[in-house]
Amino acid sequence: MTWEEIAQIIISIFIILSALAVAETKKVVRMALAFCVMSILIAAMFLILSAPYAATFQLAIYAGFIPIIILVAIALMRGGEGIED
Amino acid sequence: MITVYVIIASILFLLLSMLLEWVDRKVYAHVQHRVGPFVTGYHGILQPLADFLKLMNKEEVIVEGSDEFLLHAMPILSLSLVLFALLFIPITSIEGILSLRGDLIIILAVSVIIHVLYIVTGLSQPSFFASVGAARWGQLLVSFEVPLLLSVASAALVANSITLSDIVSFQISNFPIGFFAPLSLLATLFSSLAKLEKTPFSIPDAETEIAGGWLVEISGRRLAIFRIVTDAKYLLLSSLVVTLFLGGPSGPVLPGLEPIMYTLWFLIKLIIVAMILSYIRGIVARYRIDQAIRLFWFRITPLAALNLVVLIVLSTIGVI
Repeated sequence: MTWEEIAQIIISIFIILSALAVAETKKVVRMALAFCVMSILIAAMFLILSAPYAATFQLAIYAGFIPIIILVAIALMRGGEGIED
Repeated sequence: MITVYVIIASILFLLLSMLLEWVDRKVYAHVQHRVGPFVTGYHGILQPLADFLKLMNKEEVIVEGSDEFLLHAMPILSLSLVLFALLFIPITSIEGILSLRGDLIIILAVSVIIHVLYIVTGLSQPSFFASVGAARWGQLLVSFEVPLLLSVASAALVANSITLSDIVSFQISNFPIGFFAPLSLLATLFSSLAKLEKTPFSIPDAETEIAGGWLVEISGRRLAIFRIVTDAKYLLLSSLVVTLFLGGPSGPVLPGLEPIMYTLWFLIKLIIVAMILSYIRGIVARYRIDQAIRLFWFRITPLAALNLVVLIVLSTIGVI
């Protein structure tokens, strides 16, 4: 097993865990953050699979802008008190 | 070996960002006919370090009802992210410590993710002021990122690459991109001011309106780390302006002394850009949030787009 395969397995496990966190977390701010983490890990996966441009655009759009739009929506609802728990 | 480089470079970057904070405070004070920090060290040069150490020793207060895990994680995460982005900046040669294809987009994405963490910090505090600050960060963010991306795109178009080492080597062999993209340079400076929440755009943490905004309940060690993150972001954005538009570390070089001369030229340009940003901060007053958004969408975005269109036309007919 090369180090790339080992890294792929580890990153895949963390991608699944963070995706579960997006679905299962009760607090909506943590949900957005877990989504951000998942996108960063997918970008790392693209980088290992030697697709740097796919990785950079994954990082810019899914890790950068989508969480911001979600968080702005939450912030405009005053911290999302109505949603938590 | 690269680990040693990264640790040494991180410490140097933190010290350099403290130096930039001193430059910022000195320029701001002199614009207002004050002397600024003067006691600690030569003309107060150690004052940012002294402030940092003082805040590290203060008591930390966590308000009831706040999300403790996120409040502990956010300062460390944002500090590591901004240091990671700084490792890509080419200073001593045409390549940074880390370098890979498309690293310009990585720097931009990381600088956006830091603001995601800021908004999360604001939203994990129970205070109403913090929620308002976080909402303002988000609204400001979607307006200042667009001109920043357009102007970075025009720099990448002139150099025909989205890799920083290619952009720098293009500028060394030809000319600084700022000659061809002056409007993009201007737009980048304004976006940097907004990213650093300096005075015309200090809307998310406006002390007199919302009592510190997204930082209102942050104290002690976490406040110290957030302040040094702001300083490191100041370093990151100034060096991004230098790298993209002003030629990076290029300049007249004695043969055999390239690393030293490159670093010297880079620092000179960096301090000039930082002084310009501080000077703008000193001479203007704060915008309201709607005025800032209108400024970015109706004034600065068209300027950056105009420069991009002109460059596209010029490169189509083969001038550059």
